[in-house]
Amino acid sequence: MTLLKTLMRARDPRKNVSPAMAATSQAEQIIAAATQEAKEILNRAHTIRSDAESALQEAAEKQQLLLQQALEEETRNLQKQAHTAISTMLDELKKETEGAVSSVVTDAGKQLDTVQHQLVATLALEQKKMQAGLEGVRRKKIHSLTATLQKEIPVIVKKVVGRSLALADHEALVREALDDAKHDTIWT
Amino acid sequence: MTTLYAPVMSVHEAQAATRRLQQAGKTLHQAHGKPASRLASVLTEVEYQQLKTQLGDSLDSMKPLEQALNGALAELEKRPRVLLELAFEPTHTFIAELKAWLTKHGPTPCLLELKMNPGVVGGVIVGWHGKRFDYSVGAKLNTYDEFPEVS
Repeated sequence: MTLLKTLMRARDPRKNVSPAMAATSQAEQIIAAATQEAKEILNRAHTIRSDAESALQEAAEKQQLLLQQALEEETRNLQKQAHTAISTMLDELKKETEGAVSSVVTDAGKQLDTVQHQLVATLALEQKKMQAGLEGVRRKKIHSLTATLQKEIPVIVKKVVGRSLALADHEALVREALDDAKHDTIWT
Repeated sequence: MTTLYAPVMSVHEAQAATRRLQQAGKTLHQAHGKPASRLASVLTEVEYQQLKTQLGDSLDSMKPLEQALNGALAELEKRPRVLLELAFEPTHTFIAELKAWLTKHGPTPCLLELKMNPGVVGGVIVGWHGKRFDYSVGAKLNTYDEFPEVS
């Protein structure tokens, strides 16, 4: 049951004219206004949450792109280094083993292919890890933001309602609460 | 057990009454003359008249008087406390209303302890024997079901 339904229950202030009832009615109106304000705060909170989520998503994508570019660059460098190293090795072998040049060339080509395959696999694995990491960070941020909102909104609403009530409203609410208490077995 | 007091008293009233009864006990032993007349200056008019009604002819006898004072003191000490947490500072008139409510619907005799708690927002939280019975608007706001859920 919502707060409004709880507080507006089972009475029509227009039919009751006692000061207590009038005060209760006024209190209910104030609470209804505060509830409305709470809803507006809630709507704003949803917007903030949505904006924050978009901003986080955008930042994550940007970061991912930068990392991917860096990783690709690094891979290209590694490939280049591997190629140079193997070519040097090949040249040296050519000089040392005059009779078996063709077989050495074939082996060096296979090695180069293997290195390239390994680099591509490493790149894919790193990308996967990076995506999982960014998603974790994003979830954590959203969770923290939502938890803060969940904690803060009741505090704001309580302050608004508490400040809005006049002494007579407070007294009427206590009378009503004590009426409820009468039906419970508190003193056993 | 002797009681000189209303079934529901505030904690402050009980503390003041305890101090008066302790002072009356001391005065009884220290001074000369008729015992009851010494107490008239220490106790309130209501307390004195209540004592007079209870003791009747024994009012000037040392032992019954001492027993009555000690009994009243013990009765005050044994009273359980009812804690009412409110969101506002109540007026004397409203405190009287709360006492009347407790006399009619609460456990008597008892002591009424009032505590200001802005978290109550409206209504009241009743404390009895270490348990809290929450009839506050604050509690209703805590169960408001339209707050965002943590995903």
